[in-house]
Amino acid sequence: MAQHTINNMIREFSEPVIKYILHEIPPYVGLVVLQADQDAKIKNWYGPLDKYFDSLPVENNDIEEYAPFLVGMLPPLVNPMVISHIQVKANTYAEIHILADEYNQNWIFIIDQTRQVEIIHPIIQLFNEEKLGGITDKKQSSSQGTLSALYLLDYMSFEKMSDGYKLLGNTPTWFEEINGKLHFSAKNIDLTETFPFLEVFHYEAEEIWNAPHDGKFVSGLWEENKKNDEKIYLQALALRHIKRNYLLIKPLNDQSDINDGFIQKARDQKLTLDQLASTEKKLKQLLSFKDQFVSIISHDLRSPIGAVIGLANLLLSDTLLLSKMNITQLELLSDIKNEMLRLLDYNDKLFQWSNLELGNFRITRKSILPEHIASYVEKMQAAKLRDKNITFIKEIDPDFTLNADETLLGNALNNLVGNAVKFTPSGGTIALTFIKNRSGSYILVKDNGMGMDDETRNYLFSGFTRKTTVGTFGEKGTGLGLGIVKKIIDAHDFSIKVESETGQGSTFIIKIID
Amino acid sequence: MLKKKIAMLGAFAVGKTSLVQQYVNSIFSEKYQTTIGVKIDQKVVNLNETEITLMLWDLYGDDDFMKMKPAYLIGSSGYLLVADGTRAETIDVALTLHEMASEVTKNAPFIFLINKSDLKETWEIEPETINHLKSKGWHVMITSAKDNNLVEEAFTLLTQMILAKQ
Repeated sequence: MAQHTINNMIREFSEPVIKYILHEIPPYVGLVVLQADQDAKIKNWYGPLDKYFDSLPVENNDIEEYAPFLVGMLPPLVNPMVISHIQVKANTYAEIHILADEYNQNWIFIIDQTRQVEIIHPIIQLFNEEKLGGITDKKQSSSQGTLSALYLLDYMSFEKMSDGYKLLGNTPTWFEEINGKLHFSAKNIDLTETFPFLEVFHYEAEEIWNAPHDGKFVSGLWEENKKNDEKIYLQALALRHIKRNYLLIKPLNDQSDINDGFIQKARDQKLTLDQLASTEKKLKQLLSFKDQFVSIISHDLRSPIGAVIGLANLLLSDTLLLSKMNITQLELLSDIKNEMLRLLDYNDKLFQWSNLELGNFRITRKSILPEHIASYVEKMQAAKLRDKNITFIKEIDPDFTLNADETLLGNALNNLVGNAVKFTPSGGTIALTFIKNRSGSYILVKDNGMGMDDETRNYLFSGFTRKTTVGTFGEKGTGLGLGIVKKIIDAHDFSIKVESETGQGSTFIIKIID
Repeated sequence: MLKKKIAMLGAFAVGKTSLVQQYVNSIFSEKYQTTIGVKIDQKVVNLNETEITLMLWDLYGDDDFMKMKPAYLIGSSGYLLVADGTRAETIDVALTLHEMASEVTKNAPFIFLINKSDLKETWEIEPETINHLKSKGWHVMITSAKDNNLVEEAFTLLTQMILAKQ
């Protein structure tokens, strides 16, 4: 699919292409970019194509058919290939850059050179005239005559004299729009009064003007304001020709190229990306503060919760006290202990979660026997399995090997099996399987419980959630368990997924990556 | 009349053009319009009964797309190094440009401006960074082209420093 925006086009650029644009393509021209594949079929394009073409390209058509000036040029004989002053259309000239990248894509950059050709044309004519006729006073005046006419093409032409500049020809319209009607004296003009920018340009131009041979030097851009407050960009050209020095000033005619061009877009995009990066950094900081806060609070809450549980245990073991209580009071005391145990469990998970979020843990891998970890999980869940009369099956492939952090992975599997117990009805079955086959090693936690719907599956591993589902015996959850599992699995570079349907049980599948 | 060239240097979008426009024309535009090339503005100031024309060279922002040419600094009597308080990396760009500018201008006076003080809620530059710059003996000012905060003061101080160095 061809794209027409620079943002989409940039995504297609490989690093060498971007570097080439940055270093070799003038930033202020209406850049047209065409992308063609190794078979010279058009793939992509960007920029004001109407400058050079009568219609838009068609994806996968031959680029040579669309742009006849490219016939025989793809792939480029030298890479990159630059050809100047190509007439691409009547009265339109361009510089063509062809760059082949490492993916055999051909990138064609088209830069408008119409103005340059317009200036070069009379100069070439001048050169040729002088070559034909030799240097005579007549020809000198002819040379000045040619330059004098350049104001018709919007150029301001000066000859550099020892004591200032001499205006050749008339002043173009744009000059009057900036400065009003200035009446230059015939010579000895101090141009830096009118264009202070030329002060620095002189330093660079002097090299050309003092050289023993002919040459030219083009300045950077500078901006002037017209009387009507419109901006205009100007560029100077220092020229040395047959021991005489000239200064030409030209406007860049297409301001939309400058204002809406590549640099403005690239910088706008850079600013947006910087803002996003800055916001992301701040959000991460805030999240870190939150996790630190949760970590500290949950750590500090352990002691008082533990103390209340201890007191409840003390009361529940005081037979004298118990004998004086009625059934309701006994139930209330038992509820206090159970609720505090649940709070402690929740608090422990919160502590664990916040520390995982903060990265306050280190994976210590070692070779683990699957039997050990399976037995640990079974032992941890034994009471609950017994209470709900759930059958727990361990299936271990003899070839299964495991290199992981025993404590953390044990915690993750304990959470998964605990979760399965919660959602499996009395008399159900839970299987913990360690399997190795051709596609890899997997740990499966499978139950034949209540399963889950699509919505539940989507938020399953997200960590904090307000939506927790009550178990088959009315068990309440913290909503943190599976978030902790995901953190641990990610830290091992393993992966986890779930297969489940409502009423059909669930299977959590951990893929082990050695 | 005395003429002095002052160059505005800094990364792109730090507010160089906005500072000049606020100082010269008392205007501010929210829209970011990247400066291509050079824009020269003039302002006549009267300082200690001396009339001076300040030629303010608003130079394009330095980045990977457009690198600052040392030639643009030739003849500068002083310069303002501008950084954006909401983008910490612009300090480094300003420091790099300072190296170039101090060499070309033969240690002309300068002031380090940290612009956009109106955006304090997204401020990234730490007080330690500012103290570090000040510890070099540099003048550092926190400005806002938008709120016209310390803009005139910065240009006036630089002009005074330029005159003092004469």
